[in-house]
Amino acid sequence: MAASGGTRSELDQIAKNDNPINCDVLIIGAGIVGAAAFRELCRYKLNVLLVDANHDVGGDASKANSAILHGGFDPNPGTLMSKLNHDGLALWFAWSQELSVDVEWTGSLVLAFNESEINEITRLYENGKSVKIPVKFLGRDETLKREPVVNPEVKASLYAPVSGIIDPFQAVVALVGNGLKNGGRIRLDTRVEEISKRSDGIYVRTSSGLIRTKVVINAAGLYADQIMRMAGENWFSIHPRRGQYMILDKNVGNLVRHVIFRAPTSIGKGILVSRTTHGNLLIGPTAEDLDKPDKRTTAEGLATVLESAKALVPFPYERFTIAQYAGLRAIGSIDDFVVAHSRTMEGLINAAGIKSPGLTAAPGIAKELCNLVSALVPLEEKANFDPYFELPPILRELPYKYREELIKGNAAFGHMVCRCELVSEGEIENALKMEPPARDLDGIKRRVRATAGRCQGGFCMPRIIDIMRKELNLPYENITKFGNKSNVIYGDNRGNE
Amino acid sequence: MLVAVVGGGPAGMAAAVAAKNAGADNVLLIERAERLGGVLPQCIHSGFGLNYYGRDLTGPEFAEYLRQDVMQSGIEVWLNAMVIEAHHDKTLVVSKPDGISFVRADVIIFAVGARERPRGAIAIPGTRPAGIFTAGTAQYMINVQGLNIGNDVFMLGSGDIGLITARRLTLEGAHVHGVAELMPFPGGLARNIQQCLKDYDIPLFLSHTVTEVLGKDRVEAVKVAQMENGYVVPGTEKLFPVDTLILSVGLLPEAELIKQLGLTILPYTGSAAVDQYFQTELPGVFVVGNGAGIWDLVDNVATSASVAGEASVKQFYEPSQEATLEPCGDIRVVLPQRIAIGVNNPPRIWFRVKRPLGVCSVALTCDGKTIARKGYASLRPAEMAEISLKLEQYNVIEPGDNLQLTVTPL
Repeated sequence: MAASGGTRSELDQIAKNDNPINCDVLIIGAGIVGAAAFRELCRYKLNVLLVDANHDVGGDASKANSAILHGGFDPNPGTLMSKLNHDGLALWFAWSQELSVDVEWTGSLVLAFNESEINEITRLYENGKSVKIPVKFLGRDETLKREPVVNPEVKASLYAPVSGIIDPFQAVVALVGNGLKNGGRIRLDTRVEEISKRSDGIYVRTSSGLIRTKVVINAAGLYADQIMRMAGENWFSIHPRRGQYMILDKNVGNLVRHVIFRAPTSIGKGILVSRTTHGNLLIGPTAEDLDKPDKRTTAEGLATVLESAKALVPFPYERFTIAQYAGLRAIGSIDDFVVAHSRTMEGLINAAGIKSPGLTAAPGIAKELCNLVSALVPLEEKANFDPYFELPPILRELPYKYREELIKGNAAFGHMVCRCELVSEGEIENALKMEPPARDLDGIKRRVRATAGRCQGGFCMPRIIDIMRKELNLPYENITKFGNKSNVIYGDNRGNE
Repeated sequence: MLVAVVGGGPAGMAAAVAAKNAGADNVLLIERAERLGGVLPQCIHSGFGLNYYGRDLTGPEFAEYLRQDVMQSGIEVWLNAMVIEAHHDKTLVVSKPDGISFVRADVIIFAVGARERPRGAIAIPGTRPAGIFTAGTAQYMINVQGLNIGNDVFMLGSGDIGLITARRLTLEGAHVHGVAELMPFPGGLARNIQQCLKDYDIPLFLSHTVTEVLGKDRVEAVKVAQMENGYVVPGTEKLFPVDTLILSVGLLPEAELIKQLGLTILPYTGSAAVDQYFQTELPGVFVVGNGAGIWDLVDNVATSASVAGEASVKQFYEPSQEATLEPCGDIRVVLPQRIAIGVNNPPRIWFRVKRPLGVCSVALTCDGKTIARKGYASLRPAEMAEISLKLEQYNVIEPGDNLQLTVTPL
């Protein structure tokens, strides 16, 4: 298969020669939107295929974001974003239970420190009221009573009880896992290169083969505009907006009870201070508009994060930081989500420009995508659809009795590998065996937390490599951090064993 | 009487042996790894044991000597066993391949060692590719697993583990392009600067740091710049085309279990305050080795841990009968931080300085009154120095005294 280039005639040639993979619905992108659509479409008697260019599910933005379920008072009423935020938030109540996704309804506080910020939270208050979201306006004293650690300079705040925190990667894994359980299929390391409509379906050429499908769902995140252009759709463009974050030690995770925001500005919801579902503290993001994707953190960006977080909640964050990262939001050329049939290619449905609150809205977007699919192919629910999904057991969350039982079944559950996050060898084995499986170190980190703690893998990483080598029967040289050429080891110097 | 020792590195083994020799009925040594030794098995260079065993040993040899002592003393050893919880009533919850065990001990000696500060702790900007290792992790992968982890290497930090790993990488055929040290002086021992860097023509850039990591999948380069007062000196940025970045930027006591006991944690050690027998404010709970504060030589670790092991089987004093000791000025760390009064055994005080000092005088004072004083030809941050109090000096100290350790250049 040619890796690049490609004209229409070439594609026709390949279609004749290669046997394409056939499906009813092809979803491009295994981020939170693609994963939610995958889960929902696998409800129906359809052959659903999910592809992603990366080595693991979780997309780009879906694994590097604020991990917040937004209350829905921020988007302007009447926009699709407002509606889907609202729908998504409601659905997460049910989905988090069906799929065992970690969600905590912590509530959020948007702080105002001056007159213009008070005006801003007043606008948010009215937004919230008009879309029937519970919001409260708190004065200074009430704000400090609710969250005593915030900067005492605070003038007022907006309190939204129905908002919270979520593990976004776990959500993607659970959604994809549920779809797989219900008969969906997935292909990773698969980059879409060309899309063309023919009489017998839409042909999609990818880096790992040709796919013929009736419907394509474009959930390609940052690259959704490129997919649209492949279908001749040029009215929409996306640019990345970088957000830099710092993760802090679990020892200080309980600094705040709520998600603490600053009153929003024109380019985002501002820096937040929040606990994660894992118990770490998260501060960020910056909002930097870029021409092209660039996930570097910068000294200036991290300084901005620290300074802005301190303005919200004064605290020596730099003493407890354990990791920094940057995520890229997909900022569309119109200020709303695009969830609609393609204007140029029948059978293509776009979910594009899904910036914040995309994570919150994802279930709502998925339902909307199902509606759009139903206009193209009939949707008939499977009798045996199983809405439930359970991740492999996380030992540190289990009573000793159950841990004992697991250890009796497999001694590896008693052998602890990661000290900081208390992860056993058995859990790492499970991460490598589950669907969708971890295939690299970051995949293990995101599924079971080993190497995600305060030492960032100093003790356990070499041991995990040994477990991967044994379980996956991989030579050391092929073990990567996140697929592609992110090899951790160059060679085995021990000679023949 | 059960003495539970958490951690089977040099401190834990030495403490366990000393406890057993001092008459403890049962000593249980709990080690999370598959073998005893802690970091010693990966330290295949020599220079260990000169004080403790009176001979020059490699790390694995030193570990084996200690292991023999453990085996001959009738100490029970659990391997692949990790303490996952520690409780105030001296109960330990241990996870091991045959189940969860609850150990109700009379004495707990935490010999939990240290962890390395990762990249995230110092927030180096840039991408997050493969090819960034802490020095100890790199050392484990090279020496224990036998792996080639990098061909072109840059190192940040000049701590001893880093310096030794730089030499080791060079001997394994890698090209170590340089070592950057943020401070204007090296972090490691003088002998290691000579034997690990100078002897192999590896450049050392003092007052420099890594300002950015580049590379999408694997490290492709690092940017290094001279620093002044925490800021990059303009025009000094250099690009090193390397595939690997090794970090040797400090150790922190692995004190999470100790924190579970609710003990006061000192900001300058990151662990619990201990007395001259390494007992914490909770009677019967001891912290030794790097778990109590970062030591320089394993010999000192073993020696001091033996003191704790022996003391752990005896009841010495009422917890209220103590003075406190804190580091002042150019003294960065002091061990112990509490001094038990009324024990007929004057304490040895260990300390480290913040910056290299020439001829100087170190004084132990109380309310401006000097209790002890000792002169030094020089003191370096990498080295732990000591003052052994004489009995008449010790006897001056009263319960409740707040002692200070200060250094004055002469």
